[in-house]
Amino acid sequence: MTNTSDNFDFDVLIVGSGMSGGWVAKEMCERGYKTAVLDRGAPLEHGAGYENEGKAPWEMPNRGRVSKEEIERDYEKSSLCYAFNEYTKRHFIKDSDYPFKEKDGKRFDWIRSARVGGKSVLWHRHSYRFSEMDFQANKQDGHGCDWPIRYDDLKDWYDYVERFAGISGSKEGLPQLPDGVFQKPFDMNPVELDAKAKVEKAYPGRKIIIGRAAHLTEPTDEQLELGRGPCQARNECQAGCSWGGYFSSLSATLPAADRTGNMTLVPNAMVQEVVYDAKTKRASGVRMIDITTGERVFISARVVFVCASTLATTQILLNSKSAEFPRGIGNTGSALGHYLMDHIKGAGANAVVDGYEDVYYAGRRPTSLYVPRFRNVTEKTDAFLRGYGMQGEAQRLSWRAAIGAEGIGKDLKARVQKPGPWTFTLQGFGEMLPEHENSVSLSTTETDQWGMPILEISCEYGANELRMKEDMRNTATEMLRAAGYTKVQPYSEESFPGIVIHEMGTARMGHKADDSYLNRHNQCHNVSNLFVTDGASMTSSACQNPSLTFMALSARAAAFADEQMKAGAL
Amino acid sequence: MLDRRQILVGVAALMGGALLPASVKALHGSGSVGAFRKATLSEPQMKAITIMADIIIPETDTPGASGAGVPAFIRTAMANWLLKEEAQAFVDGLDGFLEAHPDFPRQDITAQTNLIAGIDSSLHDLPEKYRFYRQLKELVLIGYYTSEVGAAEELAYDPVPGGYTIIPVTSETKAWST
Repeated sequence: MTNTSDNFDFDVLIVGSGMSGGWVAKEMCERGYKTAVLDRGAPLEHGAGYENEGKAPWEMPNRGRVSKEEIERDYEKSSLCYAFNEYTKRHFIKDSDYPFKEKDGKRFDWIRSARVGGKSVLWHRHSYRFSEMDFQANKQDGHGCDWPIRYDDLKDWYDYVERFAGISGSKEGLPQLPDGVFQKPFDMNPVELDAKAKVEKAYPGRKIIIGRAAHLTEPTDEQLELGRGPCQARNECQAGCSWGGYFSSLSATLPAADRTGNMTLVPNAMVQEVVYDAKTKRASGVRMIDITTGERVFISARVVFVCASTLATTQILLNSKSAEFPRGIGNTGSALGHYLMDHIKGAGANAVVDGYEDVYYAGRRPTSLYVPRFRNVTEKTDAFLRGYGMQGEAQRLSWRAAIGAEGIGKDLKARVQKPGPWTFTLQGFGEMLPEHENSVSLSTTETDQWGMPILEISCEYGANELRMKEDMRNTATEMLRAAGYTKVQPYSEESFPGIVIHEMGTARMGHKADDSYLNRHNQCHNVSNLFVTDGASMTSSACQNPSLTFMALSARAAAFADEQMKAGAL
Repeated sequence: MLDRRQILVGVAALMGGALLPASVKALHGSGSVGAFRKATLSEPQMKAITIMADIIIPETDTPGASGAGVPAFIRTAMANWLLKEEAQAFVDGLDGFLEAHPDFPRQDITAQTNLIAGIDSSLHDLPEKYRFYRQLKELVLIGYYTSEVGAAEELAYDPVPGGYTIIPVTSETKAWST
């Protein structure tokens, strides 16, 4: 199957080269399909393109910081991301280039990538499986439609993507957080081990484990062949990593796709519409604009995957209007543009840890601790449905602690030169229920500079999430006290959807077209050669970081599309 | 010091180099930082800043603030970090200080240090006239500990740790700067 079908420019066309699109590209190219990958982002070459990688603070013109004036002008939302700084700025979108509207006075902190590779370059790399409990949750409590798949449908695909991506982690045997194919975990430090022992004794239903992260600690031959190497514990990932120490499209899936000779990767390609052909009842291709030249092009393909990131995907689908589908291609139900989810964070506790002055660490560990969900698993509550996990870590305070403290002169220098006191932090990340009102739509009055109707977002946390957030603060506090710390500071700060950068939903999977957009194969119910495998396809959010699930869904859907193409159904 | 970029390039080559094809190797943006705006600090202001910075971070067995280029860094930060209003508030505060203490630049180091130590001791409750000092101290500390002197001589800096390990603290152990 090396020749493209005569009538099409490509066998497979993928919109987006991030976490999901990269996987589809790899899978389809390796199966012999001529594949186009279109990405709105500017090119970013793995290695040589990482301009600020490895630079010391004093080598940066602004010592790592972006001017407040520039932030106010261009990066109002991007700058809210924890990873935004002078090193990484070039990987984030200028919000001023791509406006959107926050409707009904509801703030949404939409963080977007400006580059090929998408947010796979910028992610936090925590990699967790969803569990059987997560796939059953909607059906059990009636919030959101039933997932059309169960854990067993995805289990082998999790194995598959973990083996290729490279996930470091420990096997724990927890039903709510299934074990996977792991490389050696990062170490916990002595303070963390001590806290783990004490907290798990005080709360037998709660575990503190090392975060499972997409970092190579024992690279396989397959990973080495792709030019990847072990993580160097620099923890400067989002500036780019020439080692390919962490998984990204640029380090892993796109090189794998490219070495087949079947991939055509097109940067600066803003897809505005998937075109529907009423005669064949299929998508015929996409209309795109080259944002550097303004040239408009139609590209045809047998099969189209939209993996442009949750909200961009839905924006394109809603904008794909035809006589048959005036509300967007394949859209005959109530799901497209609705049931937007993120996670909720912003509450937890911090502690100062006495003792352990004689131990320190070398290296900047690129992952943290993880507390798998215990609420409504091992410990029931009536206060809210579902639950949350936590991230945290113990580390020693650095020179930055001196900024707000008194002290000058030689004494200050001597004090700062020694490792500071140990601190421990825990923060919750909670599941957000799928609600119809949390939605996006196209503006009828405003377009961006390329003529695309801008997105209007109306999304807010509900009572369930806010009660959960309260609980995160309380349980984090009691766990740090159980660890023996006397100086514990609980906190809960205002936060808005979007900021966890786990947008999901708005084109969800389900059993039927009236309340979902995609079937159990991430295939549009009404347009058989149209697939969506990014976060838009998610039917519920669980509380785990979702990227690993996007990867597994993408690989699984690609394999299904291949079967269908070979069978002549597509 | 070793050149980190060379280390990276060297290791990347050992690992088989960057493998992405020509199709990915299109142009990327320069990503250059905009030209610095003109500094807004006068010579007398810079002199006072230098004196204060060296009192906060003096020379010991490693250079102090001015030896690490902190005053020049503050000039840059004024132009490139702060909003105009914040920079103006800082300059106004500094001017107010110099009006209230016109002899400060000519005093001996003991008198200068006593004055700054007194202000610093009320860092959390600074009177209006000394409020600029909080901004100054923040800029001095950031400027110093992100400089090569502060980050890699006074503190410890390792661009490529290679792994995360637990180490004992000895009398020689310095805190990491990053």
